[in-house]
Amino acid sequence: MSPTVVAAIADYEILEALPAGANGRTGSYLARRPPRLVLDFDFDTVVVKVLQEGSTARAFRVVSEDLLRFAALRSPYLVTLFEVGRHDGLVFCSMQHVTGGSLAAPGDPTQVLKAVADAARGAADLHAAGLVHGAITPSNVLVAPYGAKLAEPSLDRSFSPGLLVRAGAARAIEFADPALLLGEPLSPHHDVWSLGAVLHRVTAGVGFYGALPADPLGALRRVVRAEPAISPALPPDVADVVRACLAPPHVRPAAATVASRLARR
Amino acid sequence: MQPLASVESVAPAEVGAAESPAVEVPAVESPAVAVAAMPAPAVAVESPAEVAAAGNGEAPLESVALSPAAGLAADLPVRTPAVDERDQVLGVRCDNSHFNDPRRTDCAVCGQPLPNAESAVQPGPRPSLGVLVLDDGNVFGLETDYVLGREPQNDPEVAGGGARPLRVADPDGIVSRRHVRVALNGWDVQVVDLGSSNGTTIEVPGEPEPRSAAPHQPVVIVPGTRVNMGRRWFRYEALGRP
Repeated sequence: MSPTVVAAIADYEILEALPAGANGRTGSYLARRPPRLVLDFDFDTVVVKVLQEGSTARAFRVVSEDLLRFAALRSPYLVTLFEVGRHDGLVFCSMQHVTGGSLAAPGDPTQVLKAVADAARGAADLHAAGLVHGAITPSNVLVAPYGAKLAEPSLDRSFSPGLLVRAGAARAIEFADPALLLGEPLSPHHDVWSLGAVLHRVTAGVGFYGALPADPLGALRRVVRAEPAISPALPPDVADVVRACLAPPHVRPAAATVASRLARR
Repeated sequence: MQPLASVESVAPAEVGAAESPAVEVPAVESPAVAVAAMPAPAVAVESPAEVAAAGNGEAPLESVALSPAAGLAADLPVRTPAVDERDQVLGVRCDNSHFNDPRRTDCAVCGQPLPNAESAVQPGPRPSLGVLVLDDGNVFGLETDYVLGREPQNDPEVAGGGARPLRVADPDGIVSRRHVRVALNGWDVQVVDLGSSNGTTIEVPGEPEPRSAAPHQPVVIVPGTRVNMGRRWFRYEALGRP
């Protein structure tokens, strides 16, 4: 069991801290469902993710709206959220515990293509509702025995407008469309680029840019200046899907198309 | 659906605690999201309103239920696409369509030579001019202006949408509430001290001594420049080729 650094978040009794990647993220905890929280299913344990330390009332309201829109989709390809709260300086979200880890450390390598296809379906459901995820990475693709789910969208832009790289998270930018890093406003086609980057990483075992430096500036410069290199180790049909995800936006496929191409394989 | 207290019922206390009331910050979103104020730890009752009524004096928990939320979400305003905050500027495009500062001779992204004819200069959305690297390791993109300080959300430009707030925590209070603005002007990055109590110093690469920024006087900075606000600081860096 991982060491627990907090005993409770609001009235959620913390059972254990989840290791980074186990449920997609750091700052996530397995917790006992408080009795007041009435759920559709009989979950006794839930995941509580700390989203932010310190937040204004306005930022909390914006984030709550974002999560409400996400939760209202009721997509089987998106993680089920229960509650977003603000207490004692922390903004947190409680959600279902997806037990199979994430694509950051996939348990069953034969299931990774199906998991990426499911994530693409989740992205397609978001896009159909006018939402964009903005942070599709292997650790945000949560794996369950019955299929994968996309974790909740990035909220960094709501809490900290303009934040490109959170301290200590430089390596995640290999999954970001460089055009986004160069200032394009967030759009669904950026999610499709990220799906291609995730597909490449989990299939080839390497990223487009080799091992990125831990230094955020060095990582950003390499991603912006280098052309993404598709590994020759990829099966040709997978490489074709990856290549399509990286194509110029006007010919880049929709997320639903990426899902169906992977499902046909 | 359980009755919920509206967000307005908890907002005034929040503004007093976390946001100075010096400038009225308008709500940017509809108040359609209802936020329930509850004590924590909550007692075993199902209605947030009832929990609120059973207040025990501890810090309140604000909560939005997401699980039975479809009805509430239907009341939310239609989500508008992300706003393109990029200004239109004059520049030149390389063969790969990257938009560049017309003073450059090669593309900042791919290195292709740029056309130098005057006819090649055209208007377009300005790309990011680089990043601000904070001393805490967070990195912010320079697509638009920023106001940095302990309470930048109270800056009129921020409230009006003309600049992003970048909060710089400083328990010593040396950093002012509104300390410095980073402004994009054409293809240049400027620093403007906003009349801060303890001043701003600028360390330009290659210069032996830091300069003091005169209040309200814009100073153009180059990549690699470090800007000090008391003990807190940030660096401006370019992402493209030098």
